[in-house]
Amino acid sequence: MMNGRTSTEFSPGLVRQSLPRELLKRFPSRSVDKLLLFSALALGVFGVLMIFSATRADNPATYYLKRQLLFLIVGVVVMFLAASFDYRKMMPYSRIIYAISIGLLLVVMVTPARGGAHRWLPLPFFDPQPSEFAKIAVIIMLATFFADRHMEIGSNREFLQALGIAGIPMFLIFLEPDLGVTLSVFVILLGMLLIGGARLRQLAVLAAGTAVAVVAALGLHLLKSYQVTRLLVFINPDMDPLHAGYNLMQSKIAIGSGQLVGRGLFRGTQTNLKFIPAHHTDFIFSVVGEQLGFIGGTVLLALFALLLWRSFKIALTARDPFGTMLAVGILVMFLFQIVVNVGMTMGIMPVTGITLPFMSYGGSSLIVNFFCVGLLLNIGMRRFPQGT
Amino acid sequence: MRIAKRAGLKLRPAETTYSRPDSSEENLRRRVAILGIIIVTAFVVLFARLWFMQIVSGNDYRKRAEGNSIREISLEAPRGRILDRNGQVIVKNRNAPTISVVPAEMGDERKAVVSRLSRLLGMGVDEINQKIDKSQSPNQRAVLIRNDVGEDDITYVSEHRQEFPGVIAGTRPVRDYPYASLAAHVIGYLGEISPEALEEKKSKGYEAGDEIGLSGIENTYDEELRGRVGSLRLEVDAQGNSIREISRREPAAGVSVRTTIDKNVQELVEASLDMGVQMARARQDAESPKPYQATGASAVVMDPKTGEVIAMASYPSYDLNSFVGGISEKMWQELIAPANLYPLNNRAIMSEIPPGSTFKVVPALAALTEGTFDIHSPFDCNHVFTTGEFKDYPKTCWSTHHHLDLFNGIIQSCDVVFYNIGYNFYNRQKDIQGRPLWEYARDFQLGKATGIDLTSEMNGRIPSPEWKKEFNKKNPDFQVWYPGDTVNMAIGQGDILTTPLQMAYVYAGIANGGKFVRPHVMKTLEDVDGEVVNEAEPEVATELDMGPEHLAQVTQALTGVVQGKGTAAATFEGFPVNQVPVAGKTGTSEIMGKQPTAWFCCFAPANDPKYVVAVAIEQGGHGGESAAPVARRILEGLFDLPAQGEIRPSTGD
Repeated sequence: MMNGRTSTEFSPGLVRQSLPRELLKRFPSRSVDKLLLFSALALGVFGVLMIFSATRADNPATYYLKRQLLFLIVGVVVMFLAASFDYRKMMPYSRIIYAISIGLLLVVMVTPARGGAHRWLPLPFFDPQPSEFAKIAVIIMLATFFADRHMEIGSNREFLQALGIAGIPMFLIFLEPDLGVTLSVFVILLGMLLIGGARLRQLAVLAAGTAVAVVAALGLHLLKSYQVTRLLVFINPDMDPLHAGYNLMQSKIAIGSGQLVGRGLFRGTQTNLKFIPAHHTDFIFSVVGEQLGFIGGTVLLALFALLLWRSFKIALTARDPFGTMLAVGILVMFLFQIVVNVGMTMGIMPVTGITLPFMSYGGSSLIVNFFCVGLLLNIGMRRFPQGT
Repeated sequence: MRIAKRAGLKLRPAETTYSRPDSSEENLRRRVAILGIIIVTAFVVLFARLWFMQIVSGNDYRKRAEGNSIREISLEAPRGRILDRNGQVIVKNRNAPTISVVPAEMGDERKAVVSRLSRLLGMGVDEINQKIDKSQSPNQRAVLIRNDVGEDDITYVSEHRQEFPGVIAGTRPVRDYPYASLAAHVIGYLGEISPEALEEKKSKGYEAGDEIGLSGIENTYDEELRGRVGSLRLEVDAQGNSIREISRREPAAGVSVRTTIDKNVQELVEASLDMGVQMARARQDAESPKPYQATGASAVVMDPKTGEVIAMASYPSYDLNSFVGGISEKMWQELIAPANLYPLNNRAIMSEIPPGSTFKVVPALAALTEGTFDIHSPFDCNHVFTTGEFKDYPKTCWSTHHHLDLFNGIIQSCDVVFYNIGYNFYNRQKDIQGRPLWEYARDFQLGKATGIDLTSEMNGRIPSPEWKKEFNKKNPDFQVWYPGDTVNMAIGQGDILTTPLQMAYVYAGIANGGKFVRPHVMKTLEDVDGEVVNEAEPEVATELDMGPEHLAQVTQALTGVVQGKGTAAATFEGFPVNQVPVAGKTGTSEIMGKQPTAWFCCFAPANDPKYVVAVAIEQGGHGGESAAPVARRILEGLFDLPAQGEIRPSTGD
């Protein structure tokens, strides 16, 4: 029954074998979640295609295509690497990972602002976004935290500790500013608290506290409308307050005009005539909707559903709380970003600058997403008790 | 293996190693269920929204996407020109630098754009908004804001495209009237199509926002003149930059109208009429403390054989240029103010006035045709007419003519002669003998529009017992047809009304031997290359059989009007009647409470009529003193005769 399952310990006899063969041996085909692998790869390819379609008119036409393709390849390699070691080995290193990510968030604060935001580390080939990496660092840290407590954090102190783990990077990311990622981390926290054993009363207080803070700031006119606008512009400089409504309308027109079968890949006036803002990043779903129609949109949603279903399954079948919590964190992150981003393009969610996993252009998020899928595969593969 | 088992919502498959207390597991099961429900709900919502947008509302969004990216620009077709009969251009087009806006493209920024335009053009914000709102265009069509703006303004807008979304700065063809007010009433003015007219003409390709001829030839021949609007469909990006041309339909220039008007004669007629009005205004009205008001005047020159109107003038007139690019509200108010005597009205076809003695040719010819009188039938005028019923209601003649025959009755315009003829008609009609006078009047095409190719022509009125009954439907006491009704009609008074053109038409019919050729102002329609695409055929409305000898007798009498004892003799003193015999008739018609209208109708040469001239000066005095001099000036010009230095007014009728 355990045949073909390799030990997570390196066996000296295998060292001389070639690395690919060694890696392959680490992925017993029977226990790899092929549907998850398929959905992630399909989404990655789908994304590259749509980014190419959205940016063909740019000069040079293949700039974004080439870069995203490269990110995809890197992402896939990272995914396999992330699946190749026993995920439980990360637990002792979670504090270090977390500390490094906080450090990067601090470093990014002193980088030159681009578009009013300090989000990118200026490196030669590509500029990583520490906030994207912070998301997974927070997930690993929280998963370790919950696993250490056997998924029971009944005490308020532990609850506050969990809040703190997420709160520090949230605060730093908010200062960048990047509202989308800040919200993502917050929702990841909520999801992990829910599954991780926080009391419903604690969750209720947290939810109520957040609501009161938001309502107090906006609803009771403690802030004047222009201040709200300024605040929104501050925390999300991508959003042009004068044109937010216009952009959203153009996105809706794009999706609606796709009708059943779409205007055809590479076609469609909303995309090609640049009516859709940020069509290769935040509004990539509008491009899918316009060009590929209801059929294309449904296929994309189905791929996401498949991804989430498999993630959910892996969370349920993980062999230990760490695996479960890791998977839950990743699942919630994907879920939140998909729902808010797709909902935004269709006008049922606010414009907050949240990217669509695997689809939106961007190296950091694509690589992190594939890393997450790698962890999921890892957890799924190692759900059985180890013989050795 | 155990895949089937594991596929379920199993929290802890047998092979997992970690375990928790049961209560905790139960708790976790519930929490995981919540997460599952959230995932499923979220996807159902996204899917439903996608369905709603693409399948349910997809058509609407598709249309909006197309409206977004396709801009349709109409290419205005140059309107056909208007020429005089000799090919002189009297109305043309020029390209005017223009600022227009496409309301739909201003979108949310309308307020800002309008205020910027207001500053640039020095126009009020309200004025601009009014223009935009007034236009019924369904928003894709450019609305003209101002014509003839400076080149600087055009350049400024072109260089600041971002600040002026939806604003078009360029040129567009507009009307140009080199002679300003010349023949303004025949030409007519342009304006934006009214909703009613649009409804009526939609099937002919008219669109909201179209400029359309509202009067004159511009109105009658609008469909020919307007040409066909071209269109340009452009694909534009989100910034409004044109990406490519999708299709282009070149505008087709309108057909030109060559009128029957002779520009030189028109100028002559307008100048003569103006002179006549000024002279009348300088003359004291004997029966009033004021001089004659001359509240309006008109003159028509036509060719009796072809029906061509060679000149048609109406006083006061207006400058057609004030309508270019849409008339300003201020100017419009001036044009419709009563104090300014309604310059837009074409009095030659719109003024309904009793014809007075100019009408006498009709009862004369009617009596000769009936055979009740001949041209030498004797009459006796001792200033009053007291025959029969008129014993108690005597009618007076403007003079005392003593013994005279019908021939001289025409020359001297003796009312008593025509009272007798009228009374004779009354008695015969009562006895149901012969045809009544009003039928003869209608034979002369009176009481109905001549059918000239100009809009707003009035019918005039020929009274009859039936008409009187109908007219006084609510006043039974006034329905009776009295002898006075026929007798008054015989001198062109009472309820009879005619337009100056109708009287010109009567004289044209007589001049043409009873053949009435319908008056018209369009000679030919010509395309851009000058090729004739349509030609007006002379249309014979009726051919009266009045006996050539009777026509000759009356014409002979009319030639006596301008000489000897004739009512216009003084005016035509020195006119070479042997060279150009003139057959004319004066008329002075009374309207209760107003000063008399001066009439003069004539044709010349009497033996081979080339021109009919009719002049009417409303509240301008007597025909001989006010209208005849105008006619003489016109005839001098028409026949290239030396102009008399000063024309004497003829006193009398």
